[in-house]
Amino acid sequence: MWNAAKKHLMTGVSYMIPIVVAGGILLSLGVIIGEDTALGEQLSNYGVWALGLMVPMISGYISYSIADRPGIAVGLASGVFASELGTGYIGGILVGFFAGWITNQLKKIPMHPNIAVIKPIMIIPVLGIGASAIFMSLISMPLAPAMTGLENWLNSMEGNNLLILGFIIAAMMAFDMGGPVNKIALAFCYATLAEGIYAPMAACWIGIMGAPLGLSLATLIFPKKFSKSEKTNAIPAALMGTLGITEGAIPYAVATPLKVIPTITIGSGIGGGIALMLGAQSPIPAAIGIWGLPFVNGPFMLLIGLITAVIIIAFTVGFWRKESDVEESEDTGLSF
Amino acid sequence: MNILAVTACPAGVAHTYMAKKGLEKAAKKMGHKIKVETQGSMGIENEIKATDLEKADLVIWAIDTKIEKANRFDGKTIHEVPVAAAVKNAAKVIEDAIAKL
Repeated sequence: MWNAAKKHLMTGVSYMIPIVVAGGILLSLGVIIGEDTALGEQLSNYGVWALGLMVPMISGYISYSIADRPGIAVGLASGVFASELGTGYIGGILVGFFAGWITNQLKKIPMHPNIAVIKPIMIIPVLGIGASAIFMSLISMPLAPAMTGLENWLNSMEGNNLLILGFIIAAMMAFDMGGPVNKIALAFCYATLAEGIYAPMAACWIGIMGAPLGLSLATLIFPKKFSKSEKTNAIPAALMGTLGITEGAIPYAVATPLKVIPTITIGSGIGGGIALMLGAQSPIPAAIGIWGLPFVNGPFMLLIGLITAVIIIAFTVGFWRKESDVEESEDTGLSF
Repeated sequence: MNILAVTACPAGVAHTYMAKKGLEKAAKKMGHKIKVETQGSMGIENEIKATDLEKADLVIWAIDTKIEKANRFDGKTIHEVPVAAAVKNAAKVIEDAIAKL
């Protein structure tokens, strides 16, 4: 049950990501050029329009994952309801599950073969979308004010609260190096970004880049504690890390999971917390990695957080690993 | 043994392909033939065809998301694992799948 639900959610996230990256980058280019110029204004508009697809995409493809092709239409329309009613991303996820479920129920309606053709083109879309509209208007009553509250709360965060927020996001990002936990945290950051809350995305950057950069640095400082394949993996891992891809850290975690995973989780968390507490904010998605640094708010604060994370990870893993770990990791021989 | 596998992860840029590499490497070491289809952000690559399915003894899905054209495998015994399992220890995934037959 839980695994199936997780798979549906991940399918939704997977289809949503390209939209958010494209929309986010268009929007941020617009903001950088300046919204008072004609080009900047246009870019921002197109970015916002693309981002408007974010909630429909996630609910549409959650529904698709549950109910296949007929689920797409019901899910997409439900997602538009969710965003119009101000329940945002959480509403979109809930209604996506509902849309998929109701589509599956409607598929089961028995029908005479002569009129069965109206089921996919009439019954499922009309009743499915109708039912989702009712569901959405009901749950929006408690959910819309709750989302506004959450937004205000995130906006009013300062000091220690920001430290905790940054820690949680960056730690989740690093924990499974691009796996499901990472994607949940990423989705949260995208959602807040779309609402104009920029702090979480800054922590997200550090969660993405801290682990691969820190582990690569560790292979340079402690060459005896890493196998040959791990050392050759260091350069691609660092390079991919700076481009916003965490997965280069996986080979190190596979070799000695208990020494690497807690370190990257906590190290990235601390870095993320520090960056946020110092006031770093990122109005652009982390997908372009370190090269987007000039465009964030408080780039030096973000850099301080990142460097802290990298140093903690490099030295902790370096000291924690023994030279005897090398043979073990020679066997896995996994490269990125 | 002829093995078919499908890999898919949410972002579809890294885990999908690392799982493919892992499975191919492990299968080769164990002396099996394997064909791995990836369903990453580029869609289906190295697609498993009907002719592959006829010869197949074993199907492994290393997936975190819904996959396209899943009905191709109807009637086959499918060993499904999270994509991370195939990245971390592909040999064990193959062993478990064989044990399931």
